[in-house]
Amino acid sequence: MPLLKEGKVVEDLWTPLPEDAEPAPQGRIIVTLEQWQAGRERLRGHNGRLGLRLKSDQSPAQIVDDLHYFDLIALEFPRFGDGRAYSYARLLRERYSFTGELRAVGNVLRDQLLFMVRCGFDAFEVANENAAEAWRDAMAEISLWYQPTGRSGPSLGVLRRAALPSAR
Amino acid sequence: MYRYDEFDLAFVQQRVKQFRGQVERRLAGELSEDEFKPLRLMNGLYLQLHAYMLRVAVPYGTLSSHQMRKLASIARDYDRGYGHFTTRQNIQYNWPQLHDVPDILDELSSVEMHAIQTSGNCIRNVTADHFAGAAGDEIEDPRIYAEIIRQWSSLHPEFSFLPRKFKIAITGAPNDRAAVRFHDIGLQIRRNEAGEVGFEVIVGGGLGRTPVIGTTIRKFLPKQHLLSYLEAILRVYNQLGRRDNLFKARIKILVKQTGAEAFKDLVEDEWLHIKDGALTLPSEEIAHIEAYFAPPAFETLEANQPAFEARRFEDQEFARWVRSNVTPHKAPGYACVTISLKPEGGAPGDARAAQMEVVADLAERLSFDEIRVSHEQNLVLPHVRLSDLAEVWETLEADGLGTPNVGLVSDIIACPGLDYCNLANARSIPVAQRLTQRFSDLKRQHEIGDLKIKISGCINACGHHHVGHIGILGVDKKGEEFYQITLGGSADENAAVGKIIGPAFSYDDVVDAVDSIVTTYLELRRDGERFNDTLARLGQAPFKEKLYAAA
Amino acid sequence: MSLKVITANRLREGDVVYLTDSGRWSTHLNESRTGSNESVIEEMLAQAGADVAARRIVAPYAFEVVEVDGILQPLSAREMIRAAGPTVRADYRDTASQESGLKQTSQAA
Ligand code: SF4
Repeated sequence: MPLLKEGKVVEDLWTPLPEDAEPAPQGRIIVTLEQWQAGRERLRGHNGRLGLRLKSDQSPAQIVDDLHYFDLIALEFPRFGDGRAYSYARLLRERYSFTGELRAVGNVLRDQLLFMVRCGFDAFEVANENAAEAWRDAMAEISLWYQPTGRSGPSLGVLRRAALPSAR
Repeated sequence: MYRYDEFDLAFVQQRVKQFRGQVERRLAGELSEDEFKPLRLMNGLYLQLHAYMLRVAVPYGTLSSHQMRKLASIARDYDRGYGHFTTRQNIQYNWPQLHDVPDILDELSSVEMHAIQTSGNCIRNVTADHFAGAAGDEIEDPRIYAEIIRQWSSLHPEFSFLPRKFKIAITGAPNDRAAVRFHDIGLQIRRNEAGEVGFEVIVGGGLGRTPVIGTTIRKFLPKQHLLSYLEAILRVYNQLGRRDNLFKARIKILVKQTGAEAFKDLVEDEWLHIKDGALTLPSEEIAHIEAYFAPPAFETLEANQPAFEARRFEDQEFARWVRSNVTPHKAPGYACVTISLKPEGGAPGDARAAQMEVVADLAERLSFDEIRVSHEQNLVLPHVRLSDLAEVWETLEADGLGTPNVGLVSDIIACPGLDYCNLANARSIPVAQRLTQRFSDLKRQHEIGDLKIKISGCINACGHHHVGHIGILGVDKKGEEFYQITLGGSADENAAVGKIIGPAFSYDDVVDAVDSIVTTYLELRRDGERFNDTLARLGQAPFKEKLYAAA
Repeated sequence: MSLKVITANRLREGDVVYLTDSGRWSTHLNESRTGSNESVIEEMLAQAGADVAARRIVAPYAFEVVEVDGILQPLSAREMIRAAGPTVRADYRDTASQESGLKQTSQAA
């Protein structure tokens, strides 16, 4: 599936850790929460970077103390309508100060990209053939927002304050 | 009233363009119906029983004459000449065509309106007291905060895919005309002991399958924390609300299953993290919005207007209309006029384009250009001089808008029901129509007094039947329409959920059944006693006896 | 087995339509193709599915009708109203092809 970053389709340098992979492969691997919990000690010594994949009912709040082991966190969208990961993303960015790659995986549609970006995602697995084009169109659709959120520039509240005549 | 600034306008125009693109992609086959459905729902477009239905947001029920005229012209040009005002202070068009909808949205944006978030699992249009800014009992105008919430919740990136729809209501007065205890979040403006103004925060109320009266989780929230507190509630709900069962997905179920105290703790914990962050409302920002809702320039008038009093004394029909449809205003010499959209035999909440225009003209000339939509599916001219009342009444009368029945037995709330709605079990509107015909005698209606009948065509309770003094719920019995009756509900500050009186009635019998209940009430009531008080004093038994003896 | 017909809405306009013998979609219930066994109904639904893919219609499904004196009538109140339009006012009905069989409310004024 194409991976989008900064509006471009890029090569995915990460691989999921297969079940029962013995010994663990080299390089960048993504583990599930279950794999991490079962093999934490061993995985900590992994020779290469680690990523973590969370299902939509697995809040990052459960694993706050371990977040520094990961350079990537992938949050699943099992269905279009399951919006839990939007909250997880904001928590990761704004509360737990996670600065690695935040990847949206699963049912990631073009029409959600803007919301995801606004919540702090910066990588997207999209099932769209023209992913880069879709990205460009989606990003151009709405440029103004009412809410301040972590990573997405000023919101209208701030803009208004800047634009308002000082006479008040 | 609120006027879009350049940012609001640009935002809505971008949104229309985006939807135009989505419709084009749908018609070109790039989007399947499954993919398109959530997108059209986010723009208020449903596929109903007969056709598409477009629900247009009327933020906190406030309209200018300019906007009302646009609603009329849309009804004429793109629909079948009428619109339906809903219990959520919105307007619905029942027959738009998909390919026209982007044009309709364009027209709406030209008068600062849109259909964003009138459906889907997001924060819906915020509702408020329809007498806001006019009522004498108000602490502050709730629309200031409704507008702030509207902005904050518009395309909120975190809360656009909630477990279920989310409704917020706000009132600025102790007399609750916004049913705040029956919303996902209800906000009641209060003054604390120090005299500061803030909000009582109520969560987990709602109607539908499981009617619940909301619980107060915070007695007093200072103004500047309004948005951070709402964000905390929504964040808890977004993460923990049930997503496995549509019927258990509303916040009321989460509050029940978690326990109100534990839920409150979750919210307060979350809030502590974000309390003094970016969402804190600076007082200049509140003042900026507040300025839009500054009271109009009321003239200094005598509270007593001799010409008006004389007319009232001489003209019984006028006096009757004043009695039911006119309520006191905070400014001396002014009044609030409620325009009944419940004529005898009419469909509750429906207005023809020409009628909308009549209301627009009156508002422009005689009510500081303001119109409100009430959740009782009527329209309101909030600021009319007493000395203009006679003219307003005569104009309304001439266009079938002068029915003197507000708050009376024929001022019935009814959802669209099986005549329009895809989810319905039974028809609502024709039951309302037959009831208004049965109770057509205005003298009798005024004798009966304040009595609220509310009808829903299915358990989703869009007609608020749970909170009707007499509630009627359409059920399906082997493909046939039946109606279950509940007694004793109330949506105001004495919030109560009605109780079922007994076996359901057929379409033919339901009108007689209501008549029997009303007759029993009239026989049993003591001087001045209201329906729910008689019921509380005597219980259901005497009503039941008459009702089922006759059957 | 009972008699069934297929209904849907036109994608562009939203009109209620029924699948006809010629494979087209008509706003008149009485022009519907009827099916009385599973395999025919399956076949009709398959055709409807193809028309969904071709972006002619949305949301197709089958429902039961009876034939009385050569006129098709739905069994459920829902489908009667869907075929004939809202029962609330005579002037709202315009695609009505037949009497709905449900009681009308007369419209005062
Ligand atoms: S209560 Fe039921 S029938 Fe009435 S509008 Fe709501 S969903 Fe439709």
